[in-house]
Amino acid sequence: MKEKAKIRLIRIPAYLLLAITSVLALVPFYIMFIMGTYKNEDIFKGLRLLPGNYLAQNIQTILQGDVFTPYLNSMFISIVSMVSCILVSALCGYGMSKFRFKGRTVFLRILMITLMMPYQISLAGYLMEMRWLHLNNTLWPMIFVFFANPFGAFWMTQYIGSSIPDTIIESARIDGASEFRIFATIVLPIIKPAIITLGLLIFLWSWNNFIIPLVFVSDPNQYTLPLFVSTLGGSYRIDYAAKLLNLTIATIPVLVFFSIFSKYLIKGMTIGAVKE
Amino acid sequence: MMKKKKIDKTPYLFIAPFFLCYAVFSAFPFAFSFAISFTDWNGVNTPKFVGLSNYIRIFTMDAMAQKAFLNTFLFLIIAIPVQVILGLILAMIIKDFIIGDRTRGAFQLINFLPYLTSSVAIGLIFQFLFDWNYGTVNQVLDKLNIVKDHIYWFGSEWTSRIVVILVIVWRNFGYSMIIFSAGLSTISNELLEAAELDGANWFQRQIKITIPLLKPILGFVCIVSLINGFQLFDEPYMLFASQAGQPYGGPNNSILTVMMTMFQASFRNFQMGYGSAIAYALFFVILIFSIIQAKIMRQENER
Repeated sequence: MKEKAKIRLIRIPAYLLLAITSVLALVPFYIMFIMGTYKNEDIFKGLRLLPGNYLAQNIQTILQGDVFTPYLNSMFISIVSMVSCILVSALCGYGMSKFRFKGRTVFLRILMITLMMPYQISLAGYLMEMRWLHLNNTLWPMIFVFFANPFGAFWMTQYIGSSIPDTIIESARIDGASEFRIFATIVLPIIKPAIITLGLLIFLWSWNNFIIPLVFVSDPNQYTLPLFVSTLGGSYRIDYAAKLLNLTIATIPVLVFFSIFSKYLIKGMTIGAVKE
Repeated sequence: MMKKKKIDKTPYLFIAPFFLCYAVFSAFPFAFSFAISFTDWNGVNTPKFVGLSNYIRIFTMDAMAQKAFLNTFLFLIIAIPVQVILGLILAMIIKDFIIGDRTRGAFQLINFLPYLTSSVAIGLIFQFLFDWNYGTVNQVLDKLNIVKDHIYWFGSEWTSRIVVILVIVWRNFGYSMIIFSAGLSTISNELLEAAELDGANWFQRQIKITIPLLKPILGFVCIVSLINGFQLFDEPYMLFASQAGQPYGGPNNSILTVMMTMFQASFRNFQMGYGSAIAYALFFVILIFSIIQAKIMRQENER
Protein backbone atom coordinates (compact mmCIF):
# COMPACT_ATOMS: atom_id res chain seq x y z
CA MET A 1 0.00 0.00 0.00
CA LYS A 2 2.71 2.39 1.06
CA GLU A 3 4.82 1.45 -1.97
CA LYS A 4 1.85 2.11 -4.26
CA ALA A 5 1.45 5.60 -2.87
CA LYS A 6 5.14 6.26 -3.41
CA ILE A 7 4.93 5.18 -7.02
CA ARG A 8 2.07 7.59 -7.53
CA LEU A 9 4.15 10.37 -6.06
CA ILE A 10 7.03 9.69 -8.44
CA ARG A 11 4.58 9.69 -11.28
CA ILE A 12 3.88 13.38 -11.08
CA PRO A 13 7.43 14.64 -11.85
CA ALA A 14 7.84 11.79 -14.32
CA TYR A 15 4.75 12.75 -16.29
CA LEU A 16 5.69 16.40 -15.98
CA LEU A 17 9.14 15.90 -17.49
CA LEU A 18 7.77 13.81 -20.32
CA ALA A 19 5.06 16.39 -20.99
CA ILE A 20 7.62 19.20 -21.06
CA THR A 21 9.99 17.49 -23.47
CA SER A 22 7.09 16.43 -25.68
CA VAL A 23 5.82 19.98 -25.86
CA LEU A 24 9.32 21.32 -26.49
CA ALA A 25 9.79 18.78 -29.26
CA LEU A 26 6.62 19.93 -30.99
CA VAL A 27 6.55 23.67 -30.33
CA PRO A 28 9.09 24.71 -32.98
CA PHE A 29 7.10 22.86 -35.65
CA TYR A 30 3.90 24.44 -34.39
CA ILE A 31 5.31 27.96 -34.42
CA MET A 32 6.72 27.42 -37.88
CA PHE A 33 3.27 26.45 -39.08
CA ILE A 34 1.44 29.23 -37.23
CA MET A 35 3.73 31.95 -38.54
CA GLY A 36 3.06 30.83 -42.08
CA THR A 37 -0.60 31.72 -41.64
CA TYR A 38 0.02 35.39 -40.82
CA LYS A 39 0.62 38.50 -42.82
CA ASN A 40 4.30 39.35 -42.58
CA GLU A 41 3.71 42.66 -40.76
CA ASP A 42 1.62 40.92 -38.11
CA ILE A 43 4.45 38.63 -37.11
CA PHE A 44 6.24 41.64 -35.69
CA LYS A 45 3.29 42.70 -33.56
CA GLY A 46 3.85 40.36 -30.66
CA LEU A 47 3.44 36.73 -29.76
CA ARG A 48 1.19 34.65 -31.99
CA LEU A 49 -0.08 31.31 -30.78
CA LEU A 50 -3.20 30.73 -32.86
CA PRO A 51 -3.40 30.41 -36.64
CA GLY A 52 -3.97 33.60 -38.61
CA ASN A 53 -6.04 34.12 -41.73
CA TYR A 54 -3.40 34.94 -44.30
CA LEU A 55 -2.57 31.39 -45.34
CA ALA A 56 -4.07 31.58 -48.82
CA GLN A 57 -2.21 34.78 -49.69
CA ASN A 58 1.07 33.34 -48.41
CA ILE A 59 0.55 30.26 -50.52
CA GLN A 60 0.15 32.52 -53.53
CA THR A 61 3.43 34.27 -52.70
CA ILE A 62 5.19 30.93 -52.48
CA LEU A 63 3.77 29.63 -55.73
CA GLN A 64 5.45 32.53 -57.52
CA GLY A 65 8.71 30.82 -56.63
CA ASP A 66 9.52 27.29 -57.62
CA VAL A 67 8.83 24.86 -54.81
CA PHE A 68 8.24 21.85 -56.97
CA THR A 69 11.62 21.54 -58.65
CA PRO A 70 13.52 21.01 -55.36
CA TYR A 71 10.87 18.54 -54.26
CA LEU A 72 11.14 16.55 -57.47
CA ASN A 73 14.95 16.66 -57.39
CA SER A 74 15.03 15.41 -53.82
CA MET A 75 12.50 12.70 -54.67
CA PHE A 76 14.55 11.53 -57.62
CA ILE A 77 17.83 11.56 -55.69
CA SER A 78 16.44 9.78 -52.65
CA ILE A 79 14.54 7.11 -54.55
CA VAL A 80 17.43 6.24 -56.87
CA SER A 81 19.85 6.24 -53.89
CA MET A 82 17.52 4.04 -51.92
CA VAL A 83 16.87 1.45 -54.61
CA SER A 84 20.49 1.14 -55.68
CA CYS A 85 21.75 0.98 -52.10
CA ILE A 86 19.30 -1.79 -51.22
CA LEU A 87 20.32 -3.80 -54.25
CA VAL A 88 24.07 -3.34 -53.81
CA SER A 89 23.86 -4.05 -50.06
CA ALA A 90 21.69 -7.13 -50.39
CA LEU A 91 23.88 -8.61 -53.14
CA CYS A 92 26.96 -8.01 -51.02
CA GLY A 93 25.26 -9.37 -47.90
CA TYR A 94 24.29 -12.56 -49.68
CA GLY A 95 27.74 -13.04 -51.16
CA MET A 96 29.46 -12.40 -47.85
CA SER A 97 27.25 -14.49 -45.62
CA LYS A 98 26.26 -17.50 -47.70
CA PHE A 99 29.47 -18.35 -49.51
CA ARG A 100 32.87 -19.43 -48.32
CA PHE A 101 35.47 -18.11 -50.72
CA LYS A 102 39.07 -17.10 -50.89
CA GLY A 103 39.66 -13.66 -49.48
CA ARG A 104 36.37 -13.55 -47.61
CA THR A 105 37.94 -12.53 -44.30
CA VAL A 106 39.92 -9.84 -46.05
CA PHE A 107 36.78 -8.42 -47.62
CA LEU A 108 35.01 -8.60 -44.26
CA ARG A 109 37.84 -6.66 -42.68
CA ILE A 110 37.72 -4.05 -45.42
CA LEU A 111 33.98 -3.75 -44.83
CA MET A 112 34.61 -3.15 -41.12
CA ILE A 113 37.10 -0.41 -41.96
CA THR A 114 34.73 1.30 -44.40
CA LEU A 115 32.25 1.60 -41.52
CA MET A 116 34.63 4.04 -39.85
CA MET A 117 35.07 6.40 -42.80
CA PRO A 118 32.66 9.36 -42.82
CA TYR A 119 32.36 10.56 -46.43
CA GLN A 120 32.38 14.19 -45.28
CA ILE A 121 36.14 13.90 -44.86
CA SER A 122 36.69 13.15 -48.54
CA LEU A 123 34.55 15.89 -50.06
CA ALA A 124 37.44 17.71 -51.76
CA GLY A 125 38.62 14.56 -53.52
CA TYR A 126 35.06 13.64 -54.42
CA LEU A 127 34.44 17.06 -55.95
CA MET A 128 37.57 16.81 -58.11
CA GLU A 129 36.69 13.28 -59.21
CA MET A 130 33.19 14.35 -60.24
CA ARG A 131 34.65 17.32 -62.12
CA TRP A 132 36.90 15.03 -64.11
CA LEU A 133 33.94 12.82 -64.92
CA HIS A 134 31.99 15.96 -65.92
CA LEU A 135 29.28 15.03 -63.44
CA ASN A 136 29.67 17.95 -61.07
CA ASN A 137 26.71 19.84 -62.50
CA THR A 138 24.34 16.90 -62.35
CA LEU A 139 22.35 15.23 -59.59
CA TRP A 140 24.58 12.15 -59.68
CA PRO A 141 27.19 13.16 -57.06
CA MET A 142 24.38 13.20 -54.50
CA ILE A 143 23.31 9.69 -55.53
CA PHE A 144 26.67 7.95 -55.97
CA VAL A 145 27.65 8.39 -52.32
CA PHE A 146 24.82 6.06 -51.34
CA PHE A 147 25.57 3.31 -53.88
CA ALA A 148 28.10 1.63 -51.65
CA ASN A 149 26.87 2.31 -48.13
CA PRO A 150 29.04 0.44 -45.61
CA PHE A 151 26.30 0.32 -43.01
CA GLY A 152 23.89 -1.20 -45.52
CA ALA A 153 26.34 -3.86 -46.72
CA PHE A 154 27.43 -4.70 -43.19
CA TRP A 155 23.93 -4.99 -41.85
CA MET A 156 22.69 -7.06 -44.81
CA THR A 157 25.60 -9.42 -44.27
CA GLN A 158 24.57 -9.91 -40.67
CA TYR A 159 20.85 -10.06 -41.40
CA ILE A 160 21.04 -12.52 -44.28
CA GLY A 161 23.56 -14.58 -42.35
CA SER A 162 21.25 -14.99 -39.39
CA SER A 163 17.78 -14.95 -40.92
CA ILE A 164 18.13 -17.39 -43.82
CA PRO A 165 18.81 -21.02 -42.95
CA ASP A 166 21.56 -22.55 -45.09
CA THR A 167 19.37 -25.59 -45.70
CA ILE A 168 16.84 -23.60 -47.75
CA ILE A 169 19.57 -22.34 -50.03
CA GLU A 170 21.21 -25.77 -50.20
CA SER A 171 18.02 -27.46 -51.32
CA ALA A 172 17.38 -24.79 -53.94
CA ARG A 173 20.89 -25.37 -55.25
CA ILE A 174 20.27 -29.10 -55.40
CA ASP A 175 17.10 -28.38 -57.37
CA GLY A 176 19.38 -26.68 -59.87
CA ALA A 177 18.35 -23.07 -59.30
CA SER A 178 21.00 -20.56 -60.34
CA GLU A 179 22.50 -18.38 -57.60
CA PHE A 180 20.88 -15.23 -58.96
CA ARG A 181 17.54 -16.97 -59.08
CA ILE A 182 17.99 -18.03 -55.46
CA PHE A 183 18.85 -14.46 -54.56
CA ALA A 184 15.82 -13.02 -56.32
CA THR A 185 13.20 -15.60 -55.41
CA ILE A 186 14.32 -16.84 -51.98
CA VAL A 187 16.62 -14.32 -50.33
CA LEU A 188 14.90 -11.05 -51.24
CA PRO A 189 11.41 -12.10 -50.05
CA ILE A 190 12.76 -13.34 -46.71
CA ILE A 191 14.73 -10.19 -45.96
CA LYS A 192 11.82 -7.86 -46.73
CA PRO A 193 11.78 -6.30 -43.22
CA ALA A 194 15.48 -5.49 -43.53
CA ILE A 195 14.91 -4.02 -46.99
CA ILE A 196 12.18 -1.73 -45.69
CA THR A 197 14.31 -0.61 -42.74
CA LEU A 198 17.43 0.02 -44.79
CA GLY A 199 15.44 1.68 -47.55
CA LEU A 200 13.84 4.11 -45.12
CA LEU A 201 17.15 4.93 -43.46
CA ILE A 202 18.83 5.64 -46.79
CA PHE A 203 15.85 7.67 -47.91
CA LEU A 204 16.05 9.70 -44.68
CA TRP A 205 19.82 10.27 -44.94
CA SER A 206 19.67 11.11 -48.61
CA TRP A 207 16.65 13.36 -48.22
CA ASN A 208 18.21 15.37 -45.38
CA ASN A 209 21.70 15.50 -46.87
CA PHE A 210 22.93 19.05 -47.08
CA ILE A 211 26.68 19.35 -47.42
CA ILE A 212 27.00 17.48 -50.73
CA PRO A 213 24.45 19.56 -52.61
CA LEU A 214 25.95 22.64 -50.96
CA VAL A 215 29.34 21.74 -52.43
CA PHE A 216 28.12 20.60 -55.83
CA VAL A 217 25.00 22.47 -56.84
CA SER A 218 24.87 26.06 -58.01
CA ASP A 219 22.08 25.88 -60.58
CA PRO A 220 18.66 26.48 -58.93
CA ASN A 221 17.19 23.88 -61.30
CA GLN A 222 19.20 21.29 -59.40
CA TYR A 223 18.42 22.46 -55.88
CA THR A 224 17.51 19.77 -53.44
CA LEU A 225 15.00 20.55 -50.75
CA PRO A 226 17.55 21.25 -47.95
CA LEU A 227 19.56 23.46 -50.30
CA PHE A 228 16.39 25.28 -51.31
CA VAL A 229 15.54 25.74 -47.62
CA SER A 230 19.01 27.11 -46.91
CA THR A 231 18.57 29.81 -49.55
CA LEU A 232 15.36 30.88 -47.84
CA GLY A 233 17.44 32.05 -44.89
CA GLY A 234 19.59 34.38 -46.92
CA SER A 235 16.98 35.94 -49.13
CA TYR A 236 16.86 39.71 -48.83
CA ARG A 237 13.18 39.74 -49.66
CA ILE A 238 12.16 39.76 -46.05
CA ASP A 239 8.84 38.00 -46.06
CA TYR A 240 9.20 35.82 -43.00
CA ALA A 241 5.66 34.51 -43.15
CA ALA A 242 6.14 33.20 -46.67
CA LYS A 243 9.58 31.91 -45.72
CA LEU A 244 8.22 29.88 -42.82
CA LEU A 245 5.29 28.61 -44.82
CA ASN A 246 7.76 27.49 -47.45
CA LEU A 247 9.68 25.71 -44.72
CA THR A 248 6.48 24.09 -43.47
CA ILE A 249 5.69 22.77 -46.91
CA ALA A 250 9.25 21.54 -47.28
CA THR A 251 9.33 19.64 -43.98
CA ILE A 252 5.90 18.54 -42.79
CA PRO A 253 4.79 16.12 -45.56
CA VAL A 254 7.97 14.10 -45.41
CA LEU A 255 7.93 14.18 -41.61
CA VAL A 256 4.46 12.64 -41.72
CA PHE A 257 5.81 10.00 -44.09
CA PHE A 258 8.68 9.21 -41.72
CA SER A 259 6.29 9.12 -38.76
CA ILE A 260 4.13 6.50 -40.42
CA PHE A 261 7.17 4.28 -40.82
CA SER A 262 8.89 5.34 -37.60
CA LYS A 263 8.80 1.78 -36.28
CA TYR A 264 11.13 0.64 -39.06
CA LEU A 265 13.34 3.70 -38.76
CA ILE A 266 13.70 3.24 -35.01
CA LYS A 267 14.54 -0.39 -35.55
CA GLY A 268 17.19 0.54 -38.08
CA MET A 269 18.76 3.10 -35.80
CA THR A 270 19.10 0.74 -32.88
CA ILE A 271 21.09 -1.71 -35.00
CA GLY A 272 24.51 -2.12 -33.50
CA ALA A 273 23.45 -0.76 -30.13
CA VAL A 274 21.24 -3.62 -29.06
CA LYS A 275 21.60 -7.29 -29.77
CA GLU A 276 18.60 -8.65 -31.64
CA MET B 1 27.99 -23.74 -42.95
CA MET B 2 28.16 -24.14 -46.68
CA LYS B 3 30.21 -26.94 -48.06
CA LYS B 4 33.41 -25.87 -49.74
CA LYS B 5 32.78 -25.74 -53.45
CA LYS B 6 35.11 -25.73 -56.39
CA ILE B 7 36.53 -22.29 -57.07
CA ASP B 8 33.53 -20.40 -58.13
CA LYS B 9 33.19 -16.88 -59.42
CA THR B 10 29.65 -16.42 -58.11
CA PRO B 11 30.43 -14.99 -54.64
CA TYR B 12 32.76 -12.45 -56.20
CA LEU B 13 30.03 -11.37 -58.59
CA PHE B 14 27.72 -10.80 -55.63
CA ILE B 15 30.12 -8.66 -53.66
CA ALA B 16 31.61 -6.89 -56.69
CA PRO B 17 29.02 -4.09 -57.00
CA PHE B 18 29.60 -2.97 -53.43
CA PHE B 19 33.37 -3.10 -53.45
CA LEU B 20 33.70 -1.59 -56.91
CA CYS B 21 31.30 1.26 -56.14
CA TYR B 22 33.07 1.80 -52.85
CA ALA B 23 36.44 1.92 -54.56
CA VAL B 24 35.26 4.45 -57.15
CA PHE B 25 32.99 6.70 -55.12
CA SER B 26 34.52 6.49 -51.65
CA ALA B 27 37.97 4.94 -51.44
CA PHE B 28 39.37 7.00 -54.30
CA PRO B 29 38.06 10.34 -52.95
CA PHE B 30 39.45 9.41 -49.52
CA ALA B 31 42.88 8.59 -50.87
CA PHE B 32 42.87 11.58 -53.18
CA SER B 33 41.84 13.97 -50.40
CA PHE B 34 44.62 12.58 -48.26
CA ALA B 35 47.13 13.18 -51.06
CA ILE B 36 45.81 16.70 -51.61
CA SER B 37 46.28 17.47 -47.92
CA PHE B 38 50.06 17.51 -48.48
CA THR B 39 49.83 20.04 -51.28
CA ASP B 40 49.04 23.63 -51.95
CA TRP B 41 46.30 23.49 -54.56
CA ASN B 42 43.33 25.55 -55.66
CA GLY B 43 41.80 22.76 -57.70
CA VAL B 44 42.86 24.29 -61.03
CA ASN B 45 46.61 24.95 -61.09
CA THR B 46 49.33 22.34 -60.66
CA PRO B 47 49.38 21.07 -57.07
CA LYS B 48 52.56 21.99 -55.18
CA PHE B 49 53.84 19.45 -52.67
CA VAL B 50 54.31 21.12 -49.29
CA GLY B 51 54.83 18.15 -46.99
CA LEU B 52 53.26 18.43 -43.56
CA SER B 53 53.06 22.20 -43.60
CA ASN B 54 49.26 22.27 -43.96
CA TYR B 55 48.94 20.20 -40.81
CA ILE B 56 51.53 22.29 -39.00
CA ARG B 57 49.71 25.43 -40.03
CA ILE B 58 46.46 24.22 -38.44
CA PHE B 59 48.00 23.71 -35.03
CA THR B 60 50.61 26.46 -34.90
CA MET B 61 49.42 29.37 -36.99
CA ASP B 62 45.73 29.24 -37.75
CA ALA B 63 43.99 30.62 -34.66
CA MET B 64 40.63 30.36 -36.41
CA ALA B 65 40.99 26.64 -37.08
CA GLN B 66 42.13 26.07 -33.50
CA LYS B 67 39.13 27.95 -32.25
CA ALA B 68 36.94 25.77 -34.48
CA PHE B 69 38.36 22.64 -32.84
CA LEU B 70 37.82 24.14 -29.39
CA ASN B 71 34.26 25.21 -30.22
CA THR B 72 33.40 21.77 -31.55
CA PHE B 73 34.78 20.07 -28.42
CA LEU B 74 33.01 22.57 -26.22
CA PHE B 75 29.64 21.98 -27.90
CA LEU B 76 30.00 18.24 -27.52
CA ILE B 77 31.21 18.33 -23.93
CA ILE B 78 28.15 20.33 -22.93
CA ALA B 79 25.51 18.94 -25.27
CA ILE B 80 26.20 15.20 -25.16
CA PRO B 81 25.81 14.67 -21.39
CA VAL B 82 22.55 16.62 -21.47
CA GLN B 83 21.07 14.78 -24.43
CA VAL B 84 22.22 11.38 -23.19
CA ILE B 85 20.96 11.82 -19.61
CA LEU B 86 17.70 13.33 -20.79
CA GLY B 87 17.23 10.50 -23.28
CA LEU B 88 17.94 7.91 -20.59
CA ILE B 89 15.50 9.41 -18.09
CA LEU B 90 12.78 9.70 -20.72
CA ALA B 91 13.25 6.12 -21.86
CA MET B 92 12.92 4.96 -18.24
CA ILE B 93 9.84 7.07 -17.65
CA ILE B 94 8.16 5.89 -20.83
CA LYS B 95 8.88 2.28 -19.95
CA ASP B 96 7.78 2.34 -16.31
CA PHE B 97 5.07 4.95 -16.04
CA ILE B 98 3.27 5.08 -19.35
CA ILE B 99 0.59 2.47 -19.77
CA GLY B 100 -0.29 1.00 -23.14
CA ASP B 101 1.93 0.23 -26.09
CA ARG B 102 0.25 2.83 -28.27
CA THR B 103 0.71 5.68 -25.82
CA ARG B 104 4.31 4.65 -25.30
CA GLY B 105 4.86 4.59 -29.05
CA ALA B 106 3.25 7.99 -29.44
CA PHE B 107 5.47 9.59 -26.79
CA GLN B 108 8.53 7.99 -28.34
CA LEU B 109 7.61 9.29 -31.78
CA ILE B 110 6.92 12.84 -30.56
CA ASN B 111 10.28 13.10 -28.83
CA PHE B 112 11.98 11.51 -31.82
CA LEU B 113 10.51 13.85 -34.44
CA PRO B 114 13.28 16.47 -34.20
CA TYR B 115 15.85 13.82 -35.08
CA LEU B 116 13.94 12.94 -38.25
CA THR B 117 13.73 16.55 -39.38
CA SER B 118 16.28 17.97 -41.78
CA SER B 119 18.93 19.81 -39.79
CA VAL B 120 18.79 22.63 -42.31
CA ALA B 121 15.13 23.20 -41.55
CA ILE B 122 15.90 23.03 -37.84
CA GLY B 123 18.58 25.68 -38.22
CA LEU B 124 16.14 27.96 -40.00
CA ILE B 125 13.37 27.41 -37.44
CA PHE B 126 15.72 28.22 -34.58
CA GLN B 127 17.03 31.23 -36.44
CA PHE B 128 13.47 32.46 -36.35
CA LEU B 129 12.71 31.37 -32.77
CA PHE B 130 15.74 33.22 -31.40
CA ASP B 131 15.48 36.31 -33.54
CA TRP B 132 16.19 39.48 -31.62
CA ASN B 133 13.07 41.33 -32.64
CA TYR B 134 10.19 39.02 -33.40
CA GLY B 135 11.59 35.67 -32.27
CA THR B 136 9.24 33.61 -30.15
CA VAL B 137 11.77 33.09 -27.37
CA ASN B 138 12.24 36.80 -26.80
CA GLN B 139 8.50 37.41 -27.09
CA VAL B 140 7.82 34.84 -24.40
CA LEU B 141 10.59 36.11 -22.12
CA ASP B 142 9.17 39.57 -22.61
CA LYS B 143 5.60 38.51 -21.80
CA LEU B 144 6.74 36.74 -18.64
CA ASN B 145 8.74 39.82 -17.64
CA ILE B 146 11.89 37.75 -17.27
CA VAL B 147 14.02 40.17 -19.26
CA LYS B 148 13.78 43.90 -19.58
CA ASP B 149 15.17 44.14 -23.09
CA HIS B 150 15.11 41.59 -25.82
CA ILE B 151 18.23 39.43 -25.83
CA TYR B 152 20.29 39.68 -29.00
CA TRP B 153 21.02 35.95 -29.10
CA PHE B 154 23.09 36.05 -32.27
CA GLY B 155 25.00 39.12 -31.17
CA SER B 156 27.46 37.81 -28.61
CA GLU B 157 29.70 34.80 -28.25
CA TRP B 158 28.07 32.92 -25.43
CA THR B 159 24.44 33.52 -26.28
CA SER B 160 25.22 32.28 -29.80
CA ARG B 161 26.85 29.19 -28.37
CA ILE B 162 23.88 28.60 -26.11
CA VAL B 163 21.56 28.63 -29.12
CA VAL B 164 23.78 26.15 -30.98
CA ILE B 165 23.92 23.85 -27.94
CA LEU B 166 20.15 24.05 -27.52
CA VAL B 167 19.69 23.10 -31.17
CA ILE B 168 22.02 20.12 -30.80
CA VAL B 169 20.30 18.90 -27.65
CA TRP B 170 16.83 19.49 -29.07
CA ARG B 171 17.62 17.55 -32.21
CA ASN B 172 19.41 14.62 -30.58
CA PHE B 173 17.83 13.76 -27.23
CA GLY B 174 15.20 11.70 -29.00
CA TYR B 175 17.90 9.59 -30.61
CA SER B 176 19.40 8.73 -27.22
CA MET B 177 15.91 7.99 -25.99
CA ILE B 178 15.07 5.42 -28.65
CA ILE B 179 18.39 3.64 -28.26
CA PHE B 180 17.90 3.43 -24.50
CA SER B 181 14.31 2.29 -24.98
CA ALA B 182 15.54 -0.55 -27.15
CA GLY B 183 18.14 -1.36 -24.51
CA LEU B 184 15.61 -1.29 -21.68
CA SER B 185 13.41 -3.78 -23.48
CA THR B 186 16.21 -6.33 -23.30
CA ILE B 187 16.51 -6.17 -19.50
CA SER B 188 14.65 -9.01 -17.86
CA ASN B 189 11.91 -8.07 -15.47
CA GLU B 190 12.85 -10.78 -12.97
CA LEU B 191 15.78 -8.84 -11.56
CA LEU B 192 13.75 -5.68 -11.23
CA GLU B 193 10.84 -7.49 -9.61
CA ALA B 194 13.11 -9.23 -7.16
CA ALA B 195 14.62 -5.89 -6.21
CA GLU B 196 11.14 -4.44 -5.80
CA LEU B 197 10.19 -7.26 -3.44
CA ASP B 198 13.33 -6.52 -1.44
CA GLY B 199 11.99 -3.03 -0.94
CA ALA B 200 14.10 -1.10 -3.43
CA ASN B 201 12.25 1.96 -4.66
CA TRP B 202 12.12 3.11 -8.28
CA PHE B 203 15.22 5.30 -8.09
CA GLN B 204 17.25 2.63 -6.34
CA ARG B 205 16.23 0.05 -8.93
CA GLN B 206 17.28 2.32 -11.78
CA ILE B 207 20.64 3.16 -10.24
CA LYS B 208 21.50 -0.27 -8.88
CA ILE B 209 20.14 -2.48 -11.67
CA THR B 210 19.07 -0.72 -14.84
CA ILE B 211 21.97 1.66 -15.35
CA PRO B 212 24.73 -0.93 -14.75
CA LEU B 213 23.02 -3.24 -17.25
CA LEU B 214 22.76 -0.42 -19.77
CA LYS B 215 26.46 0.45 -19.56
CA PRO B 216 27.44 -0.92 -23.00
CA ILE B 217 24.54 0.94 -24.61
CA LEU B 218 25.46 4.07 -22.70
CA GLY B 219 28.93 3.76 -24.22
CA PHE B 220 27.49 3.22 -27.68
CA VAL B 221 25.24 6.28 -27.49
CA CYS B 222 28.03 8.53 -26.20
CA ILE B 223 30.48 7.49 -28.89
CA VAL B 224 28.02 7.63 -31.77
CA SER B 225 26.97 11.08 -30.57
CA LEU B 226 30.63 12.13 -30.42
CA ILE B 227 31.44 10.81 -33.90
CA ASN B 228 28.41 12.50 -35.41
CA GLY B 229 28.95 15.60 -33.33
CA PHE B 230 32.50 16.10 -34.59
CA GLN B 231 31.01 16.54 -38.05
CA LEU B 232 28.63 19.25 -36.87
CA PHE B 233 27.95 21.57 -39.77
CA ASP B 234 24.35 22.02 -40.90
CA GLU B 235 22.83 23.66 -37.83
CA PRO B 236 25.48 26.28 -37.03
CA TYR B 237 25.90 26.96 -40.74
CA MET B 238 22.18 27.60 -41.05
CA LEU B 239 22.03 29.77 -37.92
CA PHE B 240 24.68 32.17 -39.20
CA ALA B 241 26.13 31.63 -42.64
CA SER B 242 22.75 31.52 -44.32
CA GLN B 243 21.61 34.69 -42.58
CA ALA B 244 22.11 37.94 -44.44
CA GLY B 245 24.37 40.25 -42.47
CA GLN B 246 25.67 37.63 -40.05
CA PRO B 247 29.34 36.60 -39.89
CA TYR B 248 30.08 33.09 -41.19
CA GLY B 249 31.24 31.69 -37.86
CA GLY B 250 29.05 33.80 -35.62
CA PRO B 251 30.31 36.68 -33.48
CA ASN B 252 34.08 36.31 -33.08
CA ASN B 253 33.87 32.87 -34.74
CA SER B 254 32.28 31.62 -31.54
CA ILE B 255 30.18 28.95 -33.24
CA LEU B 256 32.62 28.05 -36.00
CA THR B 257 32.99 24.26 -36.18
CA VAL B 258 35.77 22.20 -37.75
CA MET B 259 33.57 21.17 -40.66
CA MET B 260 32.64 24.80 -41.25
CA THR B 261 36.34 25.71 -41.40
CA MET B 262 36.99 22.82 -43.78
CA PHE B 263 34.08 23.87 -45.99
CA GLN B 264 35.18 27.50 -46.05
CA ALA B 265 38.79 26.63 -46.87
CA SER B 266 38.08 23.99 -49.52
CA PHE B 267 35.00 25.26 -51.27
CA ARG B 268 34.87 29.01 -50.69
CA ASN B 269 38.55 29.98 -50.59
CA PHE B 270 39.59 27.11 -52.88
CA GLN B 271 42.45 26.06 -50.63
CA MET B 272 41.83 22.40 -51.41
CA GLY B 273 45.05 21.27 -49.77
CA TYR B 274 44.55 23.14 -46.54
CA GLY B 275 40.86 22.21 -46.38
CA SER B 276 41.69 18.53 -46.83
CA ALA B 277 44.31 18.75 -44.09
CA ILE B 278 41.65 20.12 -41.71
CA ALA B 279 39.32 17.31 -42.74
CA TYR B 280 41.98 14.69 -42.10
CA ALA B 281 43.02 16.23 -38.79
CA LEU B 282 39.40 15.82 -37.74
CA PHE B 283 39.28 12.33 -39.17
CA PHE B 284 42.18 11.19 -36.99
CA VAL B 285 40.28 12.41 -33.94
CA ILE B 286 37.14 10.61 -35.09
CA LEU B 287 39.12 7.47 -35.83
CA ILE B 288 40.18 7.09 -32.21
CA PHE B 289 36.56 7.01 -31.12
CA SER B 290 35.53 4.77 -34.01
CA ILE B 291 38.09 2.20 -32.92
CA ILE B 292 36.80 2.34 -29.36
CA GLN B 293 33.29 1.85 -30.69
CA ALA B 294 34.30 -1.12 -32.81
CA LYS B 295 35.88 -2.65 -29.69
CA ILE B 296 32.69 -2.16 -27.70
CA MET B 297 30.61 -3.70 -30.48
CA ARG B 298 32.90 -6.68 -30.67
CA GLN B 299 32.67 -7.25 -26.91
CA GLU B 300 28.90 -6.98 -27.19
CA ASN B 301 28.76 -9.59 -29.90
CA GLU B 302 30.96 -11.94 -27.95
CA ARG B 303 28.83 -11.79 -24.84
